[in-house]
Amino acid sequence: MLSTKGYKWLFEGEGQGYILARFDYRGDTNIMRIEYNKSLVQLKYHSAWGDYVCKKLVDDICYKNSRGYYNYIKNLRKSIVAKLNLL
Amino acid sequence: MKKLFSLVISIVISCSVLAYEIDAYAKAIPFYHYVSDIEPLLEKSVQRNHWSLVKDEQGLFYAHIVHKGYDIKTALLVVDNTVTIKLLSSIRVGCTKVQQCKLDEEKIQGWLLRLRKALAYDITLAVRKGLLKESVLVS
Repeated sequence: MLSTKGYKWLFEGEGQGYILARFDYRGDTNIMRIEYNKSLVQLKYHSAWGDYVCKKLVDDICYKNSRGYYNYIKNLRKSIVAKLNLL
Repeated sequence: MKKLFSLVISIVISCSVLAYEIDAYAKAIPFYHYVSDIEPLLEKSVQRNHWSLVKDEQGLFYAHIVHKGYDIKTALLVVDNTVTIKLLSSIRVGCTKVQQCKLDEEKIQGWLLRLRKALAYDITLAVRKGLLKESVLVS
């Protein structure tokens, strides 16, 4: 989260099997739920304000959002993959 | 007429895009059991954006800044292992002309959101450190 390219994602909370990561940029906010178990990590839409509000949400996967949303979560995903590869 | 209509629509859209979500800064930041003493963390975080931290006799924290003609006072509420920013007052200081004394809510929201980000950044670091420590102890 902290080593993600561009703007940092910050800790917003945690629960059983997930961590919430928040991203604020120019007044728009996106909160992703990073779900994990022993073998998998998956990013899911949790909530958002402004430009990043999902327009088509199915099972907490957002299928219609702004280009920025997909770019920023792509960067978050990449940084998680990079960290996992170090383990 | 059509051009005028599309111009109005584009102005409305661009204004809504630039506007800050009202009180996006006010959501509590949880730190769970990972931070045992929150005061040094708050001190460090608020100073990053040149805010100053004040602690009163009752142990309540306040963050204050005078920046670009604005005097902003906030309370940092530490409740149930969370920190929440509460805006107490925002006034203009040192303005001479009436038109310059207007409060720009968007600016204030932006600065408060930046303060929240600074707090969340240090809490993220503390949580990461705590989790690493826990995982080392478990293994």
